[in-house]
Amino acid sequence: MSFKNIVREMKEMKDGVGSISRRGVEGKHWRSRARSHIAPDLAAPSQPIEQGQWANLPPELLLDVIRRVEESVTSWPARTVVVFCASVCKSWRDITKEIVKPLEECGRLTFPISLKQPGPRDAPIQCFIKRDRTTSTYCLYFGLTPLAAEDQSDKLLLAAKKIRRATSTEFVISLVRDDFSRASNTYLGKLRSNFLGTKFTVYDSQPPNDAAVQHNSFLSRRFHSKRVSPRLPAYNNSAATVSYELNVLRTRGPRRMQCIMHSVPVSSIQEGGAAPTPTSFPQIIEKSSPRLVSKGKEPETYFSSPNLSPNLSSFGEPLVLRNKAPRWHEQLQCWCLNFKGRVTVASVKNFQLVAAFDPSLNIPAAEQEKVILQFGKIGKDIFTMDYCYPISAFQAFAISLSSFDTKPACE
Amino acid sequence: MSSPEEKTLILKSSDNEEFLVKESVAVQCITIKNLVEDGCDLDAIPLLNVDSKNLAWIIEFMEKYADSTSTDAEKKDFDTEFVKKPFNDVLGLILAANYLNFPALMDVMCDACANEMKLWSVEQVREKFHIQNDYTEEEEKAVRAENFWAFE
Repeated sequence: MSFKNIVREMKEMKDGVGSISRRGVEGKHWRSRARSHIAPDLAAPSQPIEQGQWANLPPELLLDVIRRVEESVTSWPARTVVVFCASVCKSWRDITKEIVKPLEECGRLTFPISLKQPGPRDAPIQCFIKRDRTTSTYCLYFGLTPLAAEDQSDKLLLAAKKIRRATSTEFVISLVRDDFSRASNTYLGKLRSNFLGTKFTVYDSQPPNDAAVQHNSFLSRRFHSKRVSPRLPAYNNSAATVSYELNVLRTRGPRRMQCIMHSVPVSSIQEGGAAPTPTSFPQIIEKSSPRLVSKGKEPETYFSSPNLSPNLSSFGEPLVLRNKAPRWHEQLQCWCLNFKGRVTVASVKNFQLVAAFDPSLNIPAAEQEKVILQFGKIGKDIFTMDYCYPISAFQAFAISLSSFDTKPACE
Repeated sequence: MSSPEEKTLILKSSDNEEFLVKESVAVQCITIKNLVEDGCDLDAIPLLNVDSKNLAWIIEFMEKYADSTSTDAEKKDFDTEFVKKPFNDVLGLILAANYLNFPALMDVMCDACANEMKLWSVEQVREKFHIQNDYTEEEEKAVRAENFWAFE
C-alpha cells in the first residue's frame, strides 16, 4: 500500500475537472518506489491523538527509538532507562530484549541477569569491592573505583555476607545488600570453605539445564510458556571449586590458586567455543505453595556459538584457572605482578587468574595469556576486581571472596 | 520548462491548509521526492496523515536544513530549540517524519525522545506514551523481580 495510490485516487476524483490532464494517469508506470520508510496505513485520514494510540506505534519505529536510547546510555546509573523500557509492557519488553545483546557481545551490564553471563572477550568489566568489617559484608560495585561522592551513587551489583560456622565459613551471595535469606529471589548462591580454609566451593542457586540452543529467541519467549517442567527445590549447584596451596617456599612465597569451573567448559576458550549464557532467572516459586512445579518461563540457557552442543552432558572438560606466578623483583625485594595500575597495595590476597591448559587442547595463543580474573587491594577495605570472558560477575565475585577467608595455613 | 530549483510545490495538510514549498527543499522528504520523480503533476500534494500544525514545523525544519549557508553549529542550535516541545508533539513529529520518510528529522526527533525518556521512571514512560500496562499482577511481580535494578 503506498502513497501513490492515494494520489491516483485523488486524480481520478478530479477527472475532467481542473488542470489535471489524463496523460498523467493513464499508461503511466507508477513505480513502487514510493514505499514509506515504515508502512503505516496511509489510507486512513489523520485522527487526533488518542489515548492508547501511541501503544500502537509501528514496532519498527518503537525499535528505532528504544535502540537510540540503548546506544546512548552505556554506563550506570544512566543505563537504568533500558531496564525501564523492558518493564513497561509486553511489546516493549520483547523489543528491548531483542535490542540488548548478552554481556559478551555488547560489553555492558544491563539487566540483573547480566551478572550471570560471561564477560566480554576483549575488554574486562571493571568493578570494585568494599568490605565492611562491622557487618561482615562485601559489596561489589560497578566502576573503576569508588566515586568521590557518597557511595549511594555507585552501582551495586552483588553483595555477600560472611557467616562463620563450626567447621566452615560461608559467604552468602545476594543481589541486594540487606537481604541474604536463601528463600529470597535475590539469593544467588554461596561460597563455602572447608575447615582449613584451603578449599572453597561455589554454589549457584540457578541450576544449569539442558535447554535447547537458542540464539535469537528472546522474542519467542512469552510469559505463558506451555512447557512446565519440574524445578529442583532450592537447588545448590556446585559451580566451581577454588583451592589454595602453600608455595613450596612455605611462608615466603605466594600461594598457589586453582579454580575448577564446573559450569564453564574449557571448550569456551577454544576456537569457536562458547560459554553458557543464561538469559533469565528461574521463575519465582510461590513461597506458600509446596509444589515444586514452576509456572511460566523456564530458566533459559543458550550458547552463543551455534556449533556448541546443547546437551550439557557432553559438556566436556571444565575450564581450569590458575593464578599467574608473580616474578621476584630483586631490587624491590618482592613478588610482582603487572596489574596494569588496577592494584596499588601489596597484599597476599592479590591475584591474577589465567586459564590452565594442556597443549593438546589447542587454545589460541591470545587466550593463553589473557587474565580472566584480576583482584587486588587499592586501599583500606577496598579492592578492585576485573573479569572477562568466559566467567561471569557472579563467578568472579565468588572466587574473589575466597581470598578474604585466608587462614594462617595458607599464608 | 523551468529549472527544478525554482519550482514550487504546494503541500496540503490533512486539514486542507496549503503550504508553498520550493521543490528543492521539499524533496528532503523521500516520499515527496519519489512523487516528484515519478512525474506527479497535481496542483497540490495531499498529505493525509500530517496536520497543518506538524506540517508547518516540518517545513520550518526542512528550510533550515536545505539552507546551504547554515553551519553545523547553527543547525545544532536550531535542533535544540526545535525539540523543545510538549512530548505529544514530539511523538506527533516522529510519526509525521516517518510517514514522509524524512531521515534528518527522524534522527533529531528520535534522539530528543530518547533523551527525554532517560529522565523518566517506568510509570512515567507508560503515562507519556499512553501505554496500557498489559501485565497481570503476577507477571508484573515477575518483571519487577527480573528487572529490579529499575525499581530500586
